[in-house]
Amino acid sequence: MKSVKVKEPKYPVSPSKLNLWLFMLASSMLFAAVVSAFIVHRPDAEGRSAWTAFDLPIYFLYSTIIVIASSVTIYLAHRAAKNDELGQNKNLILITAILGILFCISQYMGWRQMVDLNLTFVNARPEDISASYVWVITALHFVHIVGGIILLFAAWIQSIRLNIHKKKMVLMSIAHTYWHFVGILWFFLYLFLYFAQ
Amino acid sequence: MSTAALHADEHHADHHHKESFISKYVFSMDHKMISKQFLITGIIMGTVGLIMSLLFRLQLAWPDEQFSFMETLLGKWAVDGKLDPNFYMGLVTIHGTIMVFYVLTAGLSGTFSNLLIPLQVGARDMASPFMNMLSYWFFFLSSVTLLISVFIETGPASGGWTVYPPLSALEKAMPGSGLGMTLWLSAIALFIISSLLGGINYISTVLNMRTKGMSMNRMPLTIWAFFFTAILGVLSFPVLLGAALFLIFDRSFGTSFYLSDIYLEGVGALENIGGSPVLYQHLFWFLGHPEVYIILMPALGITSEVISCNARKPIFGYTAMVISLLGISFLSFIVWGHHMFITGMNPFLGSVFMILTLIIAVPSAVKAFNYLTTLWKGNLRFTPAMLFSIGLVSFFISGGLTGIYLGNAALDIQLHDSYFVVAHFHLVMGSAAIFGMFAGIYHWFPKMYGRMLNNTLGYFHFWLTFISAYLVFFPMHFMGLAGVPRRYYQFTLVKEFDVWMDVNVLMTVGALIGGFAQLFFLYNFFYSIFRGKKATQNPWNSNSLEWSAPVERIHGNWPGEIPTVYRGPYEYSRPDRELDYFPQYEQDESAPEVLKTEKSKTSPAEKEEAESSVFFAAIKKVFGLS
Repeated sequence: MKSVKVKEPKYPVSPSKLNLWLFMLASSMLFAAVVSAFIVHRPDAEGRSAWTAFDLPIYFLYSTIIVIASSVTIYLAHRAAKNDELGQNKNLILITAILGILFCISQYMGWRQMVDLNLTFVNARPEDISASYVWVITALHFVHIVGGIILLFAAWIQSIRLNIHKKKMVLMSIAHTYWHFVGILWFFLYLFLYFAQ
Repeated sequence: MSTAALHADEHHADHHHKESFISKYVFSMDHKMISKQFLITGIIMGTVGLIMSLLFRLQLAWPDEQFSFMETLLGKWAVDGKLDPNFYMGLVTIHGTIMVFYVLTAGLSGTFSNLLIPLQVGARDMASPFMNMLSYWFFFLSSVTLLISVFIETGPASGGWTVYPPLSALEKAMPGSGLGMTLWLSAIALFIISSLLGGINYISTVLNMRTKGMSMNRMPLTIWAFFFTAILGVLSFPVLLGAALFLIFDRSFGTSFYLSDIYLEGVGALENIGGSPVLYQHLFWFLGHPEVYIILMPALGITSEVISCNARKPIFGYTAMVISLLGISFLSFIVWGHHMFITGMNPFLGSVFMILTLIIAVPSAVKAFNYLTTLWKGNLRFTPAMLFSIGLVSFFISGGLTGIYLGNAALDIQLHDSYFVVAHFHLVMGSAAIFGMFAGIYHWFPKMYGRMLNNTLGYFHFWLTFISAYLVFFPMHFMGLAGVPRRYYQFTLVKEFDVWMDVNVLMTVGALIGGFAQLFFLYNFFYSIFRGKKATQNPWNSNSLEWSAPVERIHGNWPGEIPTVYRGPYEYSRPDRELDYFPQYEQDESAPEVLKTEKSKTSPAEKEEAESSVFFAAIKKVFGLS
C-alpha cells in the first residue's frame, strides 16, 4: 500500500493559462463598459448634447506603432523559447519590455499634449467630457500595460535563470498572450477613439 | 473499500506536513475551509442584514412609538427611541447591499461553489487555491469596510442599494452621501475583485479539472448552475467596476460623467455639468440584472440536486434544466432596460426589452415544471433540506409570476418603485435564494463538518420562516397595486397610505416571527458544528461524487486516486438495482462488458461528450492553449 503511487490526473489546459483567458475576458468587459458609456454619451444624429471633438495627440499614434512592434518582438521571443534558443529569447523579452516602457513614455507625452490643449481630465466646460473619456480609457489601458511590463520582467528574470525553455513554457506563454492582448486592445481603442469622435 | 480507504487516509495524513493554525483556519487555501469561511461570514452578514430589516419594519409598523431599546442600540440615530429618517434610509440601503451582495452572492455562491465544484467534479482543489484564498480575504475586507460605514458619524450610504447618482455622486445630497458613500464604493470595489477572483477559478475548475468520466453532461445540476453563475459574474462585474469608477471620478475628482445641472436650494450645485445620470443606470443594471440570476441560479442548482435526491427520482429533464439555465444566463444580459422603463426610454426600445424580459418566463417555467414533475410520484423524504427546496419552488412560482406584470412596460408606469416591486424581488430573489441556501446548508452540512444538523430544529426553522416570509411579502403586492411607494419613512403622514397601517403591523409581526425563527437555525448550526450527531459517509444515499470522499476532511479530498465517474448523477430508483441509488463513482460489476461498450457506442450522452471534446480541441487550437 505504501509504495503505491497515486496517479494524478493531467488536465487538458494549464489552469493558469485558462485563468488568464478568463481574466482577459473580464477585462474586455470593463473596456466594453467604458467604451459603451462613451458611445451613449456622444451626441446623437441631431447633435443634442455638447461634445468637443478633437484630434488625438500624435503621440498616441506613436504608441500604436510601438505596441505593434513589441507584439512582433514578443512573438519572436516566444518562438525562440519554443526552439530552445535561450539567449535570443532573453534578449527579445528585454526588448519587448523596453518597448513597453517606451509605450508608457509615449502615452505620457500624449497626455502632456492633451493638457497643453486644455483637455484635462476635469473640465469646466461640459462639452469637454469627451476628453475625460479619453483620459479614462487611456489610463485604464495604461494600468493593464504596467501589469504586462511587470509580467515581462518576471519572464526576463526567469529567462536569465534559464527557467524558460521548450519544456517550461507556461510563464512565457502567459506573458506572450497577455502582451498580445494589451497590444490588440490598444490598437482597437486607438481606432475607436480616432473614428468615434 | 472503506477500510482500505481509511488506511490510505491515515498513511496520507502521516506524510502530510502539519498545517499551522493560521494556514489551516485563517489563510487557508483548501477549498473546503474557504467555503466555511464564506458561509460563516455570510451568516454573520445575514444576521446583521436581518436585524436591520427588523429595525425598519418596526418603524414602518409603529412610526409614533418610542422604543427605548433602539436608543440603546443606535444612540443618536434613534433619539428618544424614534428612528432617524436619514438612518432609516441608511438601514434600507445597507440591508439591500448586504443581502444582495454579501449574503446571496458571496455567501451563497462563495460557499457552495467552493465546497461543491472540486468535490463534485472530482478535483483535488480549485484551479488556483491561492486566488481562491485571496477571493475570500477581499470579501472579508469588503464586509468589514461596509460594516464600518454603519458606525461613522454621518451614517452609511443612504441612496438605496442601487446608489443612483446624483444622491450618490453629490456629497451634499444627504448625510450618507459623504464618507458613507465613499466606504460603500470601496467595499463594492473590493467585492468585485473578490467575485472575479472566485468566478475565474470556478469556471476554470469546471472546464478543466473534471475527473475521468465526468463529461459535461454527467455534471450535477449544481455544477452547471455554479458554472453559469460564474460566467455571469465574470462578464457583468467588470461593468459595475466601470460604473463605480466613473462614480468615484465624479465624486472625488470633479468630472461630470453622471452629473447634469443640479440645483440645491435654488443655487446651481455644481460646476461640473453635462453628464447623464441615466448612463449610470445603464451601466449599473447591465450588472444588476445578471446579478439577480447570480443570486438565484446557485439556489436553483442546489434545489435540483436536493429534490432529485430526496424524491429518489432522476431529475425530470436534465438537458432541459441545463438549457434553461443557459437560456436564463443569455437572456439576463439583454433585459437590463426593464429596470429603466420610466427613465424616458424610447417606447420602441422599451417594448424590445419587454419582449425579451417576458421570454425569460419560458426557461423559468421549464425549471418550475421540472421540479414539480420530479416531485410527482416520487418516494419523498421530507428532510429539512427537501422542505426548503420545495419552499424555493413555491417562492419561485409566486414571485416569478409577478415578474410578468413588472416586465410589462405599460404596467410598470403604475407599479415601478412601489411595494409591488419589493414584494416581487423579495419573493423570487430574496426568499427563494435564501431558501436554496438553507437547503444547501442542511443538505451539505454533513460534508462540511462531518456532523448532522438537528432535524426537529430544522422543521421549526422551515415552517416558521416559510409562513413568515409569505406573511411579510404577500400583502406588499396589494399595497403596491394601490400605489404605496417603497423606501418611505412614515406612511401615517399621507392619508392614502395610512389606510395600510394594519397591514404594515401584520407584516412587521411576520418579520419578527421570521427573525425569531432564525434563532433555531443559528443555534442548530453552531451547536451542531461541535456537538451534532456524527455523520456517516453518505447520509442521504446520494449519487454525486462528493459523498465518496471520506468524512474526515483531508486536503486533496480523496486519500487515494480520484474516483472515476461511470454515469450521470441522477440515477435513483433504477429498476434493475436493489438499492434505490447508483453512485456516479460505482462501477457496474453486473453489466457484461459487451453491453457496456455497446451502450457507450449508442448512448447519446457519450456522443455529446465526444463532440464536446472536439469543441474543446478546436478552442484550444484557436487560442493556442496547450
